Formats: sequence, structure tokens, C-alpha cells
Amino acid sequence: MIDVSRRTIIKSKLALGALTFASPFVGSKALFGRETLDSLKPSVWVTVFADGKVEIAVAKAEMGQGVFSNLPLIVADEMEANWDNVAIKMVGEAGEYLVPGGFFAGTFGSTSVRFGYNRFRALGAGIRQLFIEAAARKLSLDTIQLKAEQGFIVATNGQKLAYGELLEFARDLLPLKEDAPLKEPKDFKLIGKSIPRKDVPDKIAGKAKYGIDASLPGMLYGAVKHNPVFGSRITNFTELENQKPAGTTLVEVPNGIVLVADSYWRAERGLSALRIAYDVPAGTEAISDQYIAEQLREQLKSPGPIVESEGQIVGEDSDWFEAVYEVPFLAHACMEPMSALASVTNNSAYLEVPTQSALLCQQSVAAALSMSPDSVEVQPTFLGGGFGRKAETDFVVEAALASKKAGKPVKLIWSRAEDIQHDFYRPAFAAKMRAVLKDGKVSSWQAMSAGSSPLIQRNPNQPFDPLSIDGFVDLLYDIPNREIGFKNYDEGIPVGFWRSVGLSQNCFFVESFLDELAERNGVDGLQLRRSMLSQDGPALALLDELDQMSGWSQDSTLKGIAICRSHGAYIGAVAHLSAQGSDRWVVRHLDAVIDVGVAVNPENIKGQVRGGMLYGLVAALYADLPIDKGRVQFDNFFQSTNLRLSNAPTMSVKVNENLNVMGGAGEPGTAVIAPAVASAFRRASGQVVRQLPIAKLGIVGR
Amino acid sequence: MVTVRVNGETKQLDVEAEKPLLWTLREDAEILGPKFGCGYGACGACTVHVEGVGVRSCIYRTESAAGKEVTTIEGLNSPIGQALKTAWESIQVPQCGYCQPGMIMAFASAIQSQQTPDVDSVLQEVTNLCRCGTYDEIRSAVAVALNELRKGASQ
Repeated sequence: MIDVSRRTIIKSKLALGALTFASPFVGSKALFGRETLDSLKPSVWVTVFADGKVEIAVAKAEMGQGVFSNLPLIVADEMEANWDNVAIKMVGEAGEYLVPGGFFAGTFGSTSVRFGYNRFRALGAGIRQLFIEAAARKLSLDTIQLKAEQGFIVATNGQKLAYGELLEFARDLLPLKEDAPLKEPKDFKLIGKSIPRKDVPDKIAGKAKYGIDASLPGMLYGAVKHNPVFGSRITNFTELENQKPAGTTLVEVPNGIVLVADSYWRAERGLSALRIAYDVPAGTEAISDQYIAEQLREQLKSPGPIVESEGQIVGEDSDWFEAVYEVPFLAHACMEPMSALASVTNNSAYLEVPTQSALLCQQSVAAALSMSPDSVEVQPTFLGGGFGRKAETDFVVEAALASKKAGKPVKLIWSRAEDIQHDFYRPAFAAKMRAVLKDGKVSSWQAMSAGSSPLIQRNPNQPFDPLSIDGFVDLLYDIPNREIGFKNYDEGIPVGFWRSVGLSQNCFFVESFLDELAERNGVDGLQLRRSMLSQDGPALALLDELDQMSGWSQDSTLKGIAICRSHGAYIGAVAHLSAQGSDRWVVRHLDAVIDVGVAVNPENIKGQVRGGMLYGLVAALYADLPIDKGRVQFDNFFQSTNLRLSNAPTMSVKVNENLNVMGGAGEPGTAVIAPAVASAFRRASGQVVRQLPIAKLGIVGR
Repeated sequence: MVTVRVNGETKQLDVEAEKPLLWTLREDAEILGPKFGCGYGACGACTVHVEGVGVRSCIYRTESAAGKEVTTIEGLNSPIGQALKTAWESIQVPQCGYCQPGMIMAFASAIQSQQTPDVDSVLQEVTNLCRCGTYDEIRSAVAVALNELRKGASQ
């Protein structure tokens, strides 16, 4: 298995050496033959049709963040396609669609536009240049006399040819040039213009196809019941075979059982009637969220591995200020529960899945079925929320195993209870923060965090986990003397990647502590940050704008502030509270400024920041995950995600383009919001806010 | 066998009486706009209309809809529905979009049920969940839709 996947990677790496984007076409003109005269495929990503239509493939998962429209838009702008004539094709990021040179395949880390921008601009420019040169040949003109405009090549002498009329000439000029001149940003027609998204009309009409909507002829439905206690096993599978309703199929999957029936509802009913016996491993009875929190606090009492060190931390004992912060486990709670369609035969598998990584689906299903990854085809669908949960492939493997045993296509759908009880959770974390603030500057900073690393849990040989310490090290601030440590502590609760990942806890730890440090020393929180960012122009500009937007300097009562660097972007937020009586407050409004370097779709970025902030706000205010006796106690997501129209704050977002690198947009809002809100509640209530969710302190109103 | 009119079409469906309408629509009528979110009527992703009134179809027995008119997002063509869909598009409300068919159906029902619908009263009535956090966009879109409906009514 490993050999085959390695070969796939090597193959694509070789190809990309030759040409950064059109790899499969290098040196094999025969492939173009099939396109006939009706179309031309100058790269795997783009097909130009004789009638003027253009099809652009997108291999990044669309889970609400807008890549489905915004990546093709970059290509279309550079190639001067008419956006109205562009159709978008959803493809799996595997095989020929693996982005060459990419350090991973998948849609996470707010990376799609950030790392796709230059590549897809170059591709579009190459296609524009191709049609200019094709027209030059056809019209016997010099390229300098020609320019591309909205799907046409226009000559200075007034002649005009559609791209569709140039397919023959263009075909002879392939492969694409890698170094075609890029547009001047002032000539952009789509980039930076907040173009409406092409996935929106179908989503409003109810026509957009999600994983749960996939279907194939003869398809059956699967419902799943996972072993409730982590690490437990079913002991009476044979007996269950006799209990199951007639005409259904029972399938053992790695962590539970799937019942396959001719309707999901029947499958779910049949499953809940089974009397399943479990073997629970010794010791799991003791596992609870409280116990883990205690263990994490215990971890902070002794030294651990240092992950960043600079200078020499110094200070009299009395100079140090110290505080311990804690966050709980969290479920992702996507609106669309885990679901996947699989059709498995003896030697192949076809999957229609809402996935953040087609490549991981291909690899894990191939491993589970003992097949070569090349035999597994992945057709992605829209995702009804992803947030990192759908980068996992557990549910996809279950569907594949169910289809194999049932001998028919099976669509597997998880119930909400399964979704909440069998997630890969944002890990619970604790951090001890210590610092010395002297003469208005932080001179020494000592921090240690403890929690379970998702990367190390998957691969114990992983020496280091950069994600768990994201935002805990490499801070924006000028702090001359630092010592920062991280202890991995795993109690066996499955952990994963939750929107903004390590920053979801680390930004809360760092910014909350800084805020308390400022107040303790009688310094304004915004002013302290400003003084610690003295060399950072974009960060200072962002703070100034946030100050103006929020009116902080005029009156910071009932407000809280935080900033951070997240996924290449800078973001700052101010939370505004209003009081309910004398001892409760609600979040009334959020202001945010984000700097992404280049804003491909500014309105879409604002939407991402608003959505990211609310995703983080639910966690800051309300969400946790009670675990007792080794199992999750929640069985629905409304026990933890109660932010609705009635209590969601209004928001204002501003987008800056001051950074000279591109930043992501999907995650920064989530990262920054908890400390901003915690700061506001602390300043309003006078209570220490060092644990999330804040509602546990009894100070959050309705 | 249950007979239901779905989006103006009479359908004879061979389903159990107690099967939730959501699954009857999705599995037997092949209407996929209503979504499964929770299965206990809390999130509203499954909202459809029965005789013009919004119901949570995941906890609504199919037999309760027998002989009645069921409308899903696919069949929502009333002036209210059109105004909402147009506003949803102009404000670019959806992100992942999964909750939006149910959201629009819930708002159509809320507006329909009120004598003099205004933004606040309508917003108060809808408790549907959106995990992408499009609530601000929804508020704007509802205001736009109500404004259009008022203009239409006064013409």
C-alpha cells in the first residue's frame, strides 16, 4: 500500500518539475486528441469549449468558505474569461489534481487561496497568453497588436476572435508557458471585487448536493452505532446477527456496527433495537472531563520540554505575575452530520463524500479494503460544514466497509448523537502563564501548556507538533526574554483539528494573560499591545483602525480586546457587552479588523470573519463536552451550541491589505474571539475569567 | 400507503405511517432540499410547510401530512418565498448553505403567519440553527425581503 501511494506522489512530483500546473500533459499530446475540435484542455484545471463556455475545476472542498467560486475566479480573471460563461467542476484533490509542490493535500489551515493564489494566477495568465499567440498565428499579426478581453482576442485593427474559435491554433502551441506576464492588479476584473459566489443560487434553491444527498441506483442506507465508552468493544456480534431485522445487513466497523437497510429510518430503528454487549477496558470508568482537567493542571506543576527560548528570563519573585488558564474539549458539530456514499466491488471503490481531503479518503479506504489507492475514486460533494471534522475519514471507511458487505452502494448517515459522541475533539488544554512587566514593557515571559496533541495521538513517533503550539510561540510582540514549553498529555480521548486548531486555545491563553497583566499594572490593554508592536506597521495600523471602529480610546467600558497572527493573517477584535441587571452581561456587538495581504473577495472574507467569530463565540460563552465514566454525556448539539438569531451579536468587519504575504480568512476570527470576549467579561464583572466557557461563571445573560 | 401532495404534485407513497416526513420526502419522494440536522426538531434544517405552516419534518409523522399540501424549498414559489430567495441571493447569505433551505422555509412561514410582519417580530419567531454563523446576513436579508414585500403590497 505504502509503495503505491509513494509512487503516486513521486509520479506527480516528477511531472511538476517540468511544469508547475499542467503536469499530466507534458510530452503527451495524444491526450489532447480526445478533446476533438469542440474543446481544448490546456491544463487539467481548465477546459475551453468552442461555444465560448469555460469549465474550471476546483479540488479544494467547499464547506462554506467560498473556494468553489473564489479559486476559479482567480484563473478566470487572469485568463480573461467571461465569468458568466464559466462553469465550475468539483473534483477530488487526488491523482492528477494533487496540487504540485503543495505540502499537503486537503482543505484546512486556511490555505486554499493563500497558497493557490500565485499558482492559479500563473495558470490563468498562461492560458491568456496561449490564446493571444494562437490569434497571432491565425491572423498573422504580432502578439503586441493583440489583447485578451472577456473571452475574446481583440486586435488593434478591430479584428476580434473568440477563444472558442482559436482552439485548433492554441492546441498546436501547447504546453502552456509558465512565465506568461501577469495582469497589473489595476486591470483585475474579478479579483478584489467581491464577486457573488457561484455556489449560492443552488444553495438557496435547495439544489446543492451535499454528502447526505448523494445517491446511486440500488442504493441502501446505513446507520451506525459506535461503542459509547472510548476503547470498548462489542462482545456479542454473532448474537446481534440473530437479533437484526430481516432483510438487513449488519457490518462490524472499527469502532462500532453499521446496520444496512432499504431506508435510513429503518436502519436507525433496527439499530436502536439491538441489545449490544460491550467489554469496557479497566480504568476507563475513572475517565471524566474533570479528571482530565485535574491531570492537566498537575502537568503544569513540573517542568516540561521547551519549544521556544530566547534570552534569559529574569525577575524577582515579587515581579512575576502568574495565572493558569483552561479550555475544555469541544465537538465540531457540523450542521450536516457525518455521511458518505460508497459503492464497493471486488476490485474498485467509488465514493461520493463531503470531505476535506479526497486523498486521505482514497488512502484510508484503500487500506481498509486492501486495494490500491488508484482503485478508489473520490467524487467530492458540498460539505454541510467541515470545521476540521471532515478532514477525518472514519465515516468514509465505515460506508465503504458497509457497501462491501452489503454488495450494493450504501449511503451511511450518522445520527446527531453519534456525531457528538464520536468526534475528534478540540483537545482540553491548560496553560500556566508567567511574566514580568517593568517600565511598561514585558521583559520576561514564561509559559507552559499541557494537552493532547492530535498529531502525536495519530503518530506517536511524531517528534514535534507545531499545530498545538500555534500562537503559543512566535508571538507578534517584542518580548526579549522568553521560555515556552509544551507537554503532550493524552488520556485517550480522540482529538483532532477544530477550526483554528492550536490557536483556538493559545490565543485565549496569551491574550487573556496579557490583558490581565496590563490591568494589574494600570496600563490600558490596547496601549500595552501598541507599545509591544513598535516595529510592526501592519499590526499598528490594524490596532489604530480597531480603536477607531470600536471607540476604545474614548470609552473602553464594557469592552474587551484581543489581537493575534493566525494562518498568515493579522486579526484584532473588540467585543462590546451590554449589562443585564447588575451581574450579567451579553455580547452585543463585535468589531474586527483583519489583514490578509491580498483580498481576493473582500465581502466573502468579511463573511468568513463573522462566521469564524461566531464559531469561536459559541465556545467562549457556552460550549463544553462533559465526559464521565469514559464516555461523552451529551447526545445532541443544542446542549452546547446555543447561539441563534436571538442572541448572536451584530458584527462589523474591516479588511486590510497591508501585509506583504497573504493570510487566510477562515480561521482567524475563531482564534481571536475568545480572549476578546473574556476580556470584556472580566473587565465588566471584575471576576477572573480564566476558564471557558464563560457561562459557567454565571455571568452570561440571555 | 400514504397520499400526500408535495409541491403541487400528488404522490402515493408506500411508507410506514409513523415514518418521519423528512425521510419520506428524502427517500421516497426524492426531494432533497429539506435537510437532516438533528432528528429531534431542534435545529430546523428539515423545515417544510404543511398547508403553508412551517413544521420540523424530522419529527412530523408522514400520516399527519396525508391528504395535505406539503411545500419544500423546491416548491416555495409564493411572493414571500420569491422575495426571501431573491434577498438571500443579493445579500449572499449562505456559506456552507446546509441550513438555508430550512431557514428560508421557517422565515416564509413566520412572515405568512403575522398580520403585520416586521423585522424584529419575524426574527424572534425563527429559532433555526446555523453553524457557519450567517445570522447577521440573515437579518439583513429578512429586512430586504420585507421591504420588497411592502413595496409590492403598496403598488
